[in-house]
Order: sequence, then C-alpha cells, then structure tokens
Amino acid sequence: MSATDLQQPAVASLPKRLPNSGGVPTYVATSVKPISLPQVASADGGRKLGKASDRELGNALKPAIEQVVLDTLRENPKIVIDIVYPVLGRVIRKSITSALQSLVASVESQAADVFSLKRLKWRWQAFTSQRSYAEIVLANSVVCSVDEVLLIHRETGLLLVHASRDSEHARDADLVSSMLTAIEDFARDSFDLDADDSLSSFSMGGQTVLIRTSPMMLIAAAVAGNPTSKVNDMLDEVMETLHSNYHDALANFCG
Amino acid sequence: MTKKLKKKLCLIGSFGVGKTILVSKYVKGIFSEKYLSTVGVMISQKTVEIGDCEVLLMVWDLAGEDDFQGLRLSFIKGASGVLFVADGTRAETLRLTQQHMERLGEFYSDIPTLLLLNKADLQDQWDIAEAHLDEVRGKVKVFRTSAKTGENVEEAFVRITEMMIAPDEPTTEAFL
Repeated sequence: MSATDLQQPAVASLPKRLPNSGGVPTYVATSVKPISLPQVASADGGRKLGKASDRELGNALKPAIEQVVLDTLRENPKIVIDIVYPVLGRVIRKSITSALQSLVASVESQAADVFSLKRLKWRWQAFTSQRSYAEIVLANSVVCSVDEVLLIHRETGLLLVHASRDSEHARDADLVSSMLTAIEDFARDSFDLDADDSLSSFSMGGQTVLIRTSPMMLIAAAVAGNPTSKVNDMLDEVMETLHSNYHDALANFCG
Repeated sequence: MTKKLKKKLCLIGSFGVGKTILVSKYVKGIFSEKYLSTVGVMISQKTVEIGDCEVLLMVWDLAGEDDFQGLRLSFIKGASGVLFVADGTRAETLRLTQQHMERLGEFYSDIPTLLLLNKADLQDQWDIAEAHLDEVRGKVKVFRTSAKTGENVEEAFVRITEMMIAPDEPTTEAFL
C-alpha cells in the first residue's frame, strides 16, 4: 500500500482485530474517519517516504487514539489503578520505610548514651522480647500529652470542672470555657449547621483541642502533639459515662 | 461557709452606649475588644458577693446592634440575667433598647433584666424626657450609671445578681 493509497476511502474500512480462540486472527471491518496525507516526493525512494508517512499517519490518528484512551479510562478507571498501583505502592513503601528508619535512628542516637534505671529496664525488655532497643524506646515514649481538660455546661457555657498541668491556666479557665462555647455557637450560626452539629477539634501550632459534646455538656481537651486514638477513645468513653451518670443533675443545672 | 455560684449575664445595647467601657472598667477580662467585631461577643468575669454567697458572673458583652435581627440569639441562651444599656444623651438608643427588650421577651420571657441609662455624668447633654423615662420605668427597673465616674455601676451589678439568684421581682412581665 502506498502513501497515496491511504488517501482513499479504503482506509475507512481498516480492519479491527477481534479476540479469538483458534490462534488465527479474526478481523472485522470498522468505520474509521478517512485521513488525507500529503504527496511526498522522495529522491531516495521509500525510506524517506516511509518516515514521513509514519509521522503524518501518527499525527492524523492521534486525536482519535487519545479520544479512545480517554473514553476507555472513563468507563473503566480501574485499568489505570491496576497499572499504577504496583509502582505507587513501591514508592509509598519506600518513603514510609525511609521515614521510619530515620525516626528509629534518631531515637536510637538520642537514647544510646543515656544511662538510667528506666533505660536499663527498656534494654532488658528489648533483650527479652528480641526487639530492637529503639523500638522499645519508641513504644514507651509519650507521643502526646493531655495538658488541660475543661468540662463545660453546654447551654450556659459555665465551667463545671477544670484540670490542668499548669496552675497558671486555671485562673482563666472560666473565661476560656465561655469563649469556647461562644465560638462553637458562632461557627454553628455562621455555617447554618444543625443544633446537634458541633466543633470536634481545632489545631494551632503543636496544640490540638479535642472537643466532645453531649446535649448537656462539652469536654475540651488541649493536647500537645498528635492526639492518639487512645486519647480520642478515652474522651468518648468519659463523655458517655458523664452523660449517663449526671444527665439529671445537669438538666437542672443553674450555676 | 460561703456558697459559690456561677451565672451567665448578657449585656445588650446599641452602638456607642458605653457597654464596653462599663465592662472594661468594672469587670476582669482576658480577651481583646476585637472579639466584639469578629465573633460578636466579648466575655469577661466579675465576682459579686451577696450575703454569704459568692457569685462569679460570666459577662457576655454582645456586639452593639441597632437592629435586633443582628443579635445572635444563640449567645443569649442559658443566660440568668440581662443588662440592657442605653445612652442617656441619645434618646433613640433608649427607643432601640425598648425594642430589644420586647423582642427578647418573645424568646426569653423569664430572664431577670435591668436597664442602665449610661453617661449620667453628662447631665447638660441629657436627652431623655421624664415622660419617656416613666414609661420605661413601668416595665423595667432603671439605673442611671456613669462608666466614667462609676456612679451606680457596682449597684447595678449587685442588683441584677440578686435578681438572678432569687428572681422575685416581676421585671420581665412587661415583655409578655
């Protein structure tokens, strides 16, 4: 077939290969938009003509192929996931492994030269459990700490109970409780949320304030570091217990 | 033995009546005035002793609004008392306060209230007619106050606290 032949409508019936089970390819005529290629005059015959026609043919087919690929991906995006997943998985694993290694190395270097009874105990724990010393240090290290907890009457914003590591904070706890309630009301009004909706947390710097609410009260816990699931679960548990034990008392609370 | 109580008290009034000066001079706060224009409320606290009772008042100074619709009602919920503040040198602020009192009564009819006619030190600029004042007095107890001199400020806080502890005076019946 020559380049000029490609101009002809014959191209419109390019065959499409169908899967078969007999080993012999089966083709069926399919409708393809006719393409036109320029006449190429070549002194050295078929080689130049071939390259030029390949490029022109590619350019001509490009929009159609792109469209087919896009349609296929839209219809079945899983194809891309299947292809990319092994590559992506390896990259993510490598990145996590690298981060963990540097963390363990950092803990190890910090802990290596510290000699104390607690550290000796950790070393013994590592020896008996056949785990690395760094792993034990990490497991025993505090990931986050709850610095302050406020129990607030939800309707009035009045502070019911306050606990803090720092006694300085205690003096302003009443004001903070009321302001926290006001901010919660402000957020609910501003975003037109339901009465049942509430702030669940907010973060600033290294501090996160976790908030749990019931219809009667609100618990706000200021946490330094990343709050663990244990802290979150504990707050849920405390709120449930308080709600069931003090529901009647809080319903009649007036200051 | 001293009995300790905590109560929420709201301050409501139009722009420029002197609410924030009253609060900043006579109660203790840690939040700056910018909260009034941002969140719409500034919260301070004041301890008032009534007999053997020590009452910690959490004072919610609501942003001055000339229109009741602009007030965030959610900030008033749970309040044990409300201090309305008007400017004695501007009669229109008293009329607006009367509207606020009537509207508030629709939602919170059982809250003890007092009206502070502020800027009592500016007698030469006083703009409230006696007839108007008599009309208001029929509905709510009125205190002439001055944030500048401190006249009647402490008395007003003590009186509203007494009413919050034992709300025996029918100060809100006019709203019904």
